[in-house]
Amino acid sequence: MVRLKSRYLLMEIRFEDGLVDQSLSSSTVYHDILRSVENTYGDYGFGCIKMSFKVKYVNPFTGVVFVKCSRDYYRMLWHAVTFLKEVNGRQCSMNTLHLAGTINSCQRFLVKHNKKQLRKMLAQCKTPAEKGKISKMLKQLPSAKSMEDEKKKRQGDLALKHLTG
Amino acid sequence: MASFGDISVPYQNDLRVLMKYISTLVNLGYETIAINRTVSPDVKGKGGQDKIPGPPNLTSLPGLEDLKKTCPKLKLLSRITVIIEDQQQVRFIPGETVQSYDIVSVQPTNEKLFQQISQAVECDVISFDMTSRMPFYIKHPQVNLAIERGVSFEILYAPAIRDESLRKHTITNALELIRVCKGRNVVMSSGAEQTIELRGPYDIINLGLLFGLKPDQSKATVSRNVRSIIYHAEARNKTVKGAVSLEKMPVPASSVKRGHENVEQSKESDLKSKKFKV
Amino acid sequence: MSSRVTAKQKSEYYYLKCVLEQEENGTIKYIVLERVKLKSLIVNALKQLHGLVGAAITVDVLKCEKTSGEIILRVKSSDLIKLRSSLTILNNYNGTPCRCNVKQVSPYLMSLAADSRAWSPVEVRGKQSRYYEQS
Repeated sequence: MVRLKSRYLLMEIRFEDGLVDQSLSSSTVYHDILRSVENTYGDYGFGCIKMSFKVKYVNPFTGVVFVKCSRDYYRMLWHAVTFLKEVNGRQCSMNTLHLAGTINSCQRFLVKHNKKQLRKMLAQCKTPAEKGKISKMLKQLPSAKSMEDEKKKRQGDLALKHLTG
Repeated sequence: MASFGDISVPYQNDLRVLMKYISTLVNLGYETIAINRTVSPDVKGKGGQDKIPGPPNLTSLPGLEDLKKTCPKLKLLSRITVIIEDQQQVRFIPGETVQSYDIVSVQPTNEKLFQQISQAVECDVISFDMTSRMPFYIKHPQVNLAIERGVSFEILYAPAIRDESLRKHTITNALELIRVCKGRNVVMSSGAEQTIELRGPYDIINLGLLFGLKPDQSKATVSRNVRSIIYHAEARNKTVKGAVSLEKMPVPASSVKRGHENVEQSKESDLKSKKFKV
Repeated sequence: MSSRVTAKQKSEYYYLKCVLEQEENGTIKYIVLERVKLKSLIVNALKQLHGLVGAAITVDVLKCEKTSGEIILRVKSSDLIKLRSSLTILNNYNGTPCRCNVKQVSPYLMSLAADSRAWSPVEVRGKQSRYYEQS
């Protein structure tokens, strides 16, 4: 059976003024990206992307966006996103962080990425209260070792499944 | 090489307008043309069967003879498209009026009906309304079933020429359909509302490339697959279970005569033998 | 047997011969355009179907005949599908419906001089009946 294969793009919206937009919702991001696709690839690109394109997750505070697209046309989407200038009526730029075949691997990357960002913030912190807050958040995140273990376990499961059929 | 064909020219009440379509198509290089009539039979009222018009008479079009001189291979067919919105409407398809058309095509509007049609209903073409968002996903098993039975799928290209929003939907739906049926048994036909919307066969082949078909599959959409539809329709219409067909043969006059003589001779010989017995 | 010459490389450019048609009272009329207007028409059609990426395609108008309305275009072979599909989609010029009829496409400009598709076998039959009986 042929599966419809897809790609997941993990992107980050950076607004021009450096502020966050709380009213950011997945539908506004969806429409803005789709408009950009239509602009860069015309009716044909729109038709290609429309069927498989989905915005899976939007975090208005960090500006992180998960986008799903069919594997055949993800490059079109990617190109269009680099040309995106406005989301929700505000000047911004999109920065692609990661491209993956499953949403799981994207999420794993996001956890790592967030950790890196938090460490950076920790270094910049001035008051002890802020420091405490961020270090608490860091502890809540799964450690690199546990993630690695989980990955191995999953691969083992897959291998077992493959062997036993 | 199979000749190029367009199996979806809408029927016009004014025969002169219809003739204009046909002559435009011939000029563009098509040789097989099917005149399409779209109906959606009424279930509630009595005699829904009778309300379906019979196939149009395509032999007496004005100026057809002249056109046949320039294009001797020209083949005109009648086609009916039954839009099915209700389970009840399926029973019209095996009806006599519908089956008297050369090509029978069905347009299901929901997934259940599509499944039923791909499984059992006697038709040659399944078409979809591609000008809006598809009301359901086209699925592999149903499509494979239809392809195994030799039923084809249709893409209309004229809406893509007509309007911007229709174009987007047509591209989306055509890509989806071609992905699901892997480029097998797809035909592209016009469905034009004006003669200016018709395009040449090689342009349509190129458009097929854009829809994700391979070059040979793309060429088949306007040539080989059209021919296979016509053969499929003939097998359904003019044969018994697709195995035996009856054809009236013109009997040469000489053989008839000889046959009579033989009979007479045998009679004479019978008489002789009787005589001998006597 | 005549000797056959085969070009090994893929050609860089493709050449298209086409006409712009318009229907008026049931008769087909050819639209004759200036080079600049024609180019903008083509670029607009490309932009409509393929967006900015399509508009970036370089299309050269080699010839724009005044009398017959015949146009000869040149594109990079990689962009042929895009150009031809947008010419197919082209549906109006200045608000009036029109059609771009692509008559011939070839990687060699020379071959546009004669059109093998315009040959009618009926005319030739008298002279070379042998070939047609075989096929």
